[in-house]
Amino acid sequence: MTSAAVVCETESRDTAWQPSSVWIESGEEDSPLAQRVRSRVGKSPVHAIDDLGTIARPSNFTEGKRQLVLQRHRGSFLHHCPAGVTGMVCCNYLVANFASNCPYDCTYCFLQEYIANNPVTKLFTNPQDGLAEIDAVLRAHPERTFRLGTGELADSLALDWLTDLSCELVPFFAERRNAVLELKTKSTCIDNLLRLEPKDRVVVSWSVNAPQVVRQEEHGAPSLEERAAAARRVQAAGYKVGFHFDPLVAHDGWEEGYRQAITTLLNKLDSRRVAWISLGSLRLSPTLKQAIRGRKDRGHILTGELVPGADGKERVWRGMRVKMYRKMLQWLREADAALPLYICMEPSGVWENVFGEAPSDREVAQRLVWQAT
Amino acid sequence: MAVADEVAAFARERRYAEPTQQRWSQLSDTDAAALLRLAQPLQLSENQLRDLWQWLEDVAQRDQLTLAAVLESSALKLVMRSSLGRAEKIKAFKSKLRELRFPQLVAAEQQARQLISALELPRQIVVELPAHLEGESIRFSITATTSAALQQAATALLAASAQPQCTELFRLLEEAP
Repeated sequence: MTSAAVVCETESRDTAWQPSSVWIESGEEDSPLAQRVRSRVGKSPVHAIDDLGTIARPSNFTEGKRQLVLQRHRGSFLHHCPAGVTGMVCCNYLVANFASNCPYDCTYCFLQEYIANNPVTKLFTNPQDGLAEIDAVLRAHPERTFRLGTGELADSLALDWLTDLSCELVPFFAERRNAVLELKTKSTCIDNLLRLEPKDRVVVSWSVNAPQVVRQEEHGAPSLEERAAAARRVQAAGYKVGFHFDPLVAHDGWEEGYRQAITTLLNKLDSRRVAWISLGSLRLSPTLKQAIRGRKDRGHILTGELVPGADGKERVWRGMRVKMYRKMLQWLREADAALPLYICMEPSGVWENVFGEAPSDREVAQRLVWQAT
Repeated sequence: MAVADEVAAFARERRYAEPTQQRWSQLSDTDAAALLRLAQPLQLSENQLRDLWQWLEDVAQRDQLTLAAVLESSALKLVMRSSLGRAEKIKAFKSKLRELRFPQLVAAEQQARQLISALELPRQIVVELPAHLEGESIRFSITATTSAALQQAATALLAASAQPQCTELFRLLEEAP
């Protein structure tokens, strides 16, 4: 695949993130992605490397983010979302990994556990293979409609100023009738998106939080106001947008904080063109908790009233979670009773408590697809 | 003897691992001494110390206090001054510290226990709340040695289930007050 016809050279970047060094797997130097990155990466030293295993292991996760590795991805790009575990209501989401790691340094980020052994920032130089894999799946199941996103192991847009990946993904999905792509981000790196046409079947969503949580826990990420402004521009350009209040953190003043966040986000936005809003409580596995404790700047999330659940992860205790979900639901419904909402990684009993119903995985997935198209 | 030396001597005596000693040595003298005043009289094992220390640290961070200031709280000092035996004192200390660490959860648990108590169930009925209130069901178990006793307990349980306190108990489990 060649780059899309749209000229996507972007000036936008919302972070001072700059790689400390760039490593390109031998043989990939002339791939379109490597060429783009090399031309935009500035003064960072660029090295070709035969054996990626010889790159010095970063001293910590935060430092690892600044080592940028461009390499071929040799496995499968497409996976089922790992949040779909037994006992939890699942939205049947697929994740496509075109990159791994993220320039932001959120204290609660699960990548600190997930890619702990290899915490560099990776960009895969063969996105066309990923698209071919997705295409094969979509063609094999024309009767199904898939929801898939690129924001699991990476922020979908934060490095788009470097990769122009959106310029390949958006036109690809606009042409397909049985899939919806979600670009999930905290960034304001939206210039490419604004230029692209057509843009059907693409939902651009923001991971959002109360202002205090953004300030204390989401290091390097744009403010809530900046994300809200980006969402308005993207929606005005014709995309449906989404929001993920995930993780909800029970901090001092959370009620005021989340209410304010809802107002900030939905102000001047057409709520009829919001594809979905998800709610998810902070959840920490023992390993992730340990990783957070080891951070220099570990924020405040570990001081919450977190208790272990049936899946081994700690969450704020159930009664408090339900209280938070119900409040959020109330405020969101006050803004627009028709907003499509769901909760992530909770058992059916919690769904029942919050929404008064416990839909099946399939029902949740169908509703979300319907909302997005 | 300097605080650091006292800590080192105690940690060696209790055979604490190097990382724990290292972590202790990074505390301010005031905090290190306060922790020693907890660990020494209770002869805490390394695991016991680590668990309590973690909660103390969480409370200190949340309330923007020093470790020593948390340990100075009246509830904790009261336990340390009590005449309880070592094991009982450790248990009581952990329970009081849990109240500081999880104030809303502990308040909800206390409220749940009050509601259970208000049901005035016979002794043959045991009520078990889910651990940390993390669950949606409450277990009511009856132990009986005769059919008459079983019938009596079941009747009492049925009557209790119609009480408003019972409804309130389940509501409490569903959503925090």
